[in-house]
Formats: sequence, structure tokens, C-alpha cells
Amino acid sequence: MKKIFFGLSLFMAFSLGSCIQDEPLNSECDIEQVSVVSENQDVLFFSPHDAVKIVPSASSNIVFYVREGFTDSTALEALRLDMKITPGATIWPTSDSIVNLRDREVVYTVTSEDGLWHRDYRVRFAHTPSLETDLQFENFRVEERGRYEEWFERTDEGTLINQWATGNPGYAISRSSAVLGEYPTVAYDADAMSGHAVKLTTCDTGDFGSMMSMPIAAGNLFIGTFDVANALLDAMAATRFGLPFNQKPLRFQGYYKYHPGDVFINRKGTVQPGRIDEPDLYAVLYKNTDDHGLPFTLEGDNVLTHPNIVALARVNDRVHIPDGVEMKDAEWTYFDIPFEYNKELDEEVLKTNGYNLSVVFTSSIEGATFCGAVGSTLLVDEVKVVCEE
Amino acid sequence: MKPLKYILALALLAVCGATQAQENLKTLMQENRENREANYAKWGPTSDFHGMGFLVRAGYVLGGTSPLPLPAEIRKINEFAPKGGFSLGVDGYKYFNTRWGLSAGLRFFMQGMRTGAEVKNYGMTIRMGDDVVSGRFTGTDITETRMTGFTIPVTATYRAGARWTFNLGPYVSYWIYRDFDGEVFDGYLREGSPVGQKITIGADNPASYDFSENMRRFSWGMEFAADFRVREHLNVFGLLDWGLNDVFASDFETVTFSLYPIYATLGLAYYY
Repeated sequence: MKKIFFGLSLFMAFSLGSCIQDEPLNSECDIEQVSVVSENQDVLFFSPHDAVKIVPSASSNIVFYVREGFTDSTALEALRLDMKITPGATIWPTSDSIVNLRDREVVYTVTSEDGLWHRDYRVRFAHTPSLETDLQFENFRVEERGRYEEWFERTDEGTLINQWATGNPGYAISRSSAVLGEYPTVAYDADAMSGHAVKLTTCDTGDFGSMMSMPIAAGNLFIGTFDVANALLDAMAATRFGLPFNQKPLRFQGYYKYHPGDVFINRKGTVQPGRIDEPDLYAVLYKNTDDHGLPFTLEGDNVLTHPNIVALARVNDRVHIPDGVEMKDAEWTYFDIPFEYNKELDEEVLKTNGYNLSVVFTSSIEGATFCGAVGSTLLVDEVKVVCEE
Repeated sequence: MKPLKYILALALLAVCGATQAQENLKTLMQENRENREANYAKWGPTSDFHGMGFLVRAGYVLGGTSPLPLPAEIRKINEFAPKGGFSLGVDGYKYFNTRWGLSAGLRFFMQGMRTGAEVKNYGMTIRMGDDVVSGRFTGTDITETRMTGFTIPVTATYRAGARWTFNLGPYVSYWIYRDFDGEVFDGYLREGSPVGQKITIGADNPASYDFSENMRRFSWGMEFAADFRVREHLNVFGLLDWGLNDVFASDFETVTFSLYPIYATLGLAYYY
């Protein structure tokens, strides 16, 4: 009898299998990677790795940063950009075209194999902007779909520096119903030290979050990038801390207020009785290449522990607002922490952008592993990374 | 003259032969009829062709819940396993003549399956409360579903011979217990459209779903059954319940295509 059933199920599987239709043509049209093909690579870049860009799926602006002191912009007049695109898709200008990127951007259009979809990418060259260290949180904009704020800085000449990242794009995936102001990281103007402060709140990620064993999202704001494509795959690797920095940081200063949420839960959503949530505020300087000279970035699981770390300044005596006191009525707590160096700073490495700096704020200290209390709130304002003159 | 004689002789032979053949045929038909009547009497359901009776059916359920036709976005069926169970029921029948009759029944059943498929650019929307994730998924999906309930078929009965009986007609089912869950993994979602944000879903941390509560309670479809008498009072049978409405309630929008329950039952029937 069993054999008959087995035979029948085989038959059914086969008959289902035989209904499989022809494979549809690809609908995607991404530039996955761009490399600059040039004989003058060492004139253009500090490192050959800077000539290759892996393009995140959400990004359609591709910027190559030239080395400091690069002035001969005629080297940008005839470049070939080698594009790795979605299989089957077509690109214009083609990968073997010579393009002029001197003082201008070039638009590449990728069309999907099925011809139904296309994307435009803008490619340009720029000087590496130096990170802003006087952090006022006054520059923010609402992202294009109107869901959450994004922070940036501006040079004295008005050039944008996109140095800030948050986990808001990840929260947007799980909480499509959330509107502006309901995100873990929001602008706050009720009683800011000046203008706007930034408010970080540990939020419930709803049913989708629980489905992925990510029941909470701590509010966070950090210098670096957030790789939303991998936020579900490997949340720790999605927070990529730090950007190139060429000054020696000495002190980490600023103001904050903190009140922990009521119920501390772990990743499985289980209540941890007696545990009180804590915020985390720190600044870290680290070498941005590994032992083999390959690019290296601190991520969620090694941002405080990796041997590449050169200096760290972390707020340790964290003051909580007493229960019953409204956030806006509470006093701001000032902090001024020296960077503790565990290695000598190499001036040569510093000059060639070989170190990265990150400044990190989060409303739940274990938020990276999805443990914390919903409602924990951290306000931050007027932060400064004081550097050697 | 000689040829004429031959022709006459041949003609005579032919006439005699034909008559003989006709008589043979008559006898044969008579015997056949008697045989059939004897056969019908022997194999039942009753020797009375206008008879009534009933069958007790016990069987094992095999089948699946599937979109029809399979969309082109489904690239490969990696695994398929029926997760059915037993079926037990009673059919009452009434014959109006030697061939035709009517049958109605009540059956308890357990249906189910597990299937794993690879999909490409598969349009999907998942709604949980107020939150929606929608887009195109490329990767692996595993679905498991089970239904337990009662079916009432009302079918026309056709007796094709002493030993073969066929039934065809509509049925309604009521699901007491229903379950539909699964997970997607090892792939990525393009949020909104193929040019949207890519969200990678790893093999180790699948996104699981459970739409059990969104399944309907009542369903209907067509039933086809074939019975073969193996011995007196005993049939082997195979029947197919082909669902004609979506397993999900009509206000359920998460799964954007319809899924139909198509389940076969194989078993033995005892008839009176």
C-alpha cells in the first residue's frame, strides 16, 4: 500500500512539475558594481579599492571619491566605467563607452531583460568630504516617500556631507503603517538645547518584526551607513560604522536625557524581569583596512571590541530621568569624555584617510541584538568631537 | 454451366452460414443478457435494478492545494508530500434504471500537503494588521496546509457494467480545522516593484507566515468517483474532489492568486 501512495505522490509531483511554464525574462535592472578602468588609478585614488563601488539596491547615485590633493581633473575626461548589471539587462552608455566625468555627472540607464523596467543611475567624482565634528542635528530632510527623517551635515561652502545613518529604513520595512514622527529616530524640538535635538526611541516592530525574531527596533543615529538590503539577513552587519577621518580626536562632548522603557524583553520577546534598559553613546576611531590591506568597516558585533580600534570615548555613568518626571521638564546631562588611545596614531595613515571615525547613539544598549525595553527614550543635542588643532 | 453451379452452391452456403451466424449471435446476446443480469445480481448493489442501498467508504487522502494554472513565476517544485489522512463516510444511492441513479453522502476527511517551490519575481503582498510588505520575491517558499472537515457530495451515478460504477457531481465541504502556514527564505524581496529596495531574506532566518485564520470554512467543487467491485459487497474506489473556490476568504488580499484544493481519496467501500 505504501508503495502505491509513494508512486501516486511521485506521479502528482511529476504532473505538477510538468505544468512549469517557460522561465519569464528578468524584470530587474540594477547596476550591481562599477569599476573605474583607468591607467591613472593611483593619481585618482588612494587605494585601488576606491576605484570599485558595490552599489546598494536602493541607491541610484554613485560617487567616486578621489584622493586628497587630486587636482588634474583632465584625468577625468576620458574614463571607462565597467558596469556589472542584472543578467539580461542592457545599459546605455554601454560598458565599453569612454565618458567624460570632468566636473559633471553621467547618467547611465539600465533596462531590464523583459523591457518593462528601467533605472537611471548618476555617476560622478568628488573630493572626500571631511566629516563635520560640531554636531547640532539641525540639518535633516524627510526622505522621498515622506516616512522618516534623514540627517546630514553641510560644509561652510554648502556642500552636503551625508555622514549620518539610522535604522529607520529597516523599521519602514516592518512598520509600513508608521508615519513621520513614529519612527525610532526622529527630530525633536520641544526643549532642545538649541534648534532641534534628535530623539531616539526603542519601538515595537509589530508582527513582521516578531516574524523575523526582531521584536524591537532601538532608535539609533551613527556616522556610517545602514545597509537595509541586509537588515533582515544579518542585522549586525547592516550597521556599518564609521567614515574616513583625517584628524586626531581628543574629546567627545554633548548633552543627553534618558528614560528607560518599562518592560525589558529579549530577542524572543520574553520579558526579563528586573532588567533596566540603558542607552549607549560613544565615539570610536579605527583603522579602515585589515591586515591584507583590504577595506574594513566596524559592524554591530565588533564596534567596541575589534583590534583595529585605535581610540574610544564612551559615556559610562549614564543618568536616568527619575520616574514621573516628563522628558521635556528634565534637565539635560552634560558629558565630556576623553578619547582613550590604545595604540599610537600613525600620522601617515591619518593623512591618507586610513582611519574611520564613528559617533554612535542608541536608546537601547543591546538594541543591536534586539534586546531592550519598548519606550526607552534618548534625547541628544549639541555634540562635539574635539580634535587636535 | 459449371461456374453457375458453383455460384449457386456458394450462395446457398452463404445464406445458411448467415442464418447460422445470426442464430449464434442471438444466443450469444441472450447469454450475454443473462450473464449481465446474473452479473448484476451477483455484483449488486441489488438484483433489483431500481434498488436503493448505501456504501460505507474508508480511504486515504492524497493531493494538494495549488494555484491553477501554475504561474510562470513558479520555477521549480523542490518537494511535494501529501499530508492527508483518512476519510470515512457513507453514501446512499438510488437507481432509476439499469444504468442511472443518484447518490448523496456525508464524509469526514483529513486533507493536507507540504510543498517547496522556487519562485522568481513572484508578486506578493503580506498584510499583518495595519502593516504591509509587498513586492516581488525571488527565492524559496515552503508551504504546509491541512484541512479537516465534512463533505456532502450529490452525484449522478452511472453503472458502466456489472463491476464498474462512476459518479460525478458537485460537493460542498465544511472545514472544522484548517491550517495554512509556511516560510520564505534564501532569496530576496524587491519592495514594491522589480526596481524597489532589495531586502535579502537568508536561509537561516526565514520569514514565516500563518494564514490559517484567513481560510474559508465552506468550499465547493466537483467530485468524480470510480468504483470497481472486487468481490461481493466490496469495492475499491478512487475519487477526486476538485475545489472550485479559493481556499482563502474573499476579503483576504495577502495572497494575490487563488489556491484550489485538489484532493483524491483511494480506498475500499462496503456496499449493501
